[in-house]
Amino acid sequence: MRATRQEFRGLVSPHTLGTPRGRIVYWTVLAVVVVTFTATFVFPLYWMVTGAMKSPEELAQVPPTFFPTHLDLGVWAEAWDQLELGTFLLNTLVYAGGAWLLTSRWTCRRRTRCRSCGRCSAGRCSA
Amino acid sequence: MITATTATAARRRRRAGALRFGVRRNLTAYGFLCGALICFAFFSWYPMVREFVLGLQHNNFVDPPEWVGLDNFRAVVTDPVFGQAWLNTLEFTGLALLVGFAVPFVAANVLNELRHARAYLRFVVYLPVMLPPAVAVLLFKWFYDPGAGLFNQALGVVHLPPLSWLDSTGTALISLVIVSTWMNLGTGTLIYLAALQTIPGELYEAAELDGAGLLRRVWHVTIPQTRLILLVMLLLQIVATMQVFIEPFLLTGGGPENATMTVAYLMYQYAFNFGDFGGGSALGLLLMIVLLVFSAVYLRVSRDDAAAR
Repeated sequence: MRATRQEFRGLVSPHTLGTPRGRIVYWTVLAVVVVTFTATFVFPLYWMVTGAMKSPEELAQVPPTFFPTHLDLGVWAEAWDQLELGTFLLNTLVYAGGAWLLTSRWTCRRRTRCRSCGRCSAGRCSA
Repeated sequence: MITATTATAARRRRRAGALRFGVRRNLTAYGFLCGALICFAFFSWYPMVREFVLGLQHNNFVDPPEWVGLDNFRAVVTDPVFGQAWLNTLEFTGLALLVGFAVPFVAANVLNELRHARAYLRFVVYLPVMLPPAVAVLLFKWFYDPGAGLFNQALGVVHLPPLSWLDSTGTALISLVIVSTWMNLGTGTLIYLAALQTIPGELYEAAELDGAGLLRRVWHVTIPQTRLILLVMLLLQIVATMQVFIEPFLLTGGGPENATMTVAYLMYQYAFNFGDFGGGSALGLLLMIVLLVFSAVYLRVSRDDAAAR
């Protein structure tokens, strides 16, 4: 990883990044990007997971609580039972597994030989 | 005379033998071909032909179908919602392109420059894509809630007036664009990132030695080098966003006052709410024709453009 990091030359030259000003800008941008990305992409998921654990009263509360006041994992079990999530997950599994089997396993049964030498199998499947 | 007939027979036999040999040798290939043909015929070509036929019929799947010619098309085009739906779809596509094309490209460029937290950032940007679309849309419906929704709460914290996100004609469509962008940003970013990593560093180095600043390096190196991917993504994105359905279906139901009625959703309404499968098919065909013409023109222009270079 270290080697590629040194070889890699992007839009900004390593020299510019090395200067004090470059370093300040780089770390500021990094911090802003990490915070923004976490807020926009992880936070909604966090909100969804914790929202599932809150009681209906707490969920409707204004302003909302950041952490659920008491951890109630029972709702997950309840949802699993009431919504027949097990069956649905199995359906999804069969669907995805079938598609995977049909598209990647079958078509790759005969390992493709490359045309130049006919011996090596350059198109070998990873699956 | 006898020798001539035997010779012909032998030749014929040899030809039949060669044919049989050819078939037997490629039997597996023919088998695979059959599978593909059957799958395509059943799941791709048959539905297309069926839609075309349905578009020319009055059919509710109970009474025997009745051929009506172009009546369905006429009815669909004269529907007052028709124009509104096309306008909304175009507006959605325009906004989604404006945001959904620029943001992933900028994000990819920034991610490409960062030397730390690369794996984390890539994972995080792809998270919404892994979420099933219905879940993502319903999550945002909850955020958009005018009372207890997170967005209005956040606006309240910074002392801004609350917005009526999905409930006003002015903001409903933009709210849909936000959801759509959030859901689909990851794919674009990863594809651009892959394209950016193929750019040789020497090009940037040379441009910098020639005195090109950051923006000029982006303009004269990054964009020309990723041009092909950008063009393909533009086409794919336009074709995909023109068919926007799940956002209006789950968030607004086309309202308020048809402000978020899109062509694909109108098609759904015709078929499954009004039971007018002919009208739905006719509208679907119109959308398909528009996308086909657009794609053909686009490919032609980009090919001419590539040839001119």
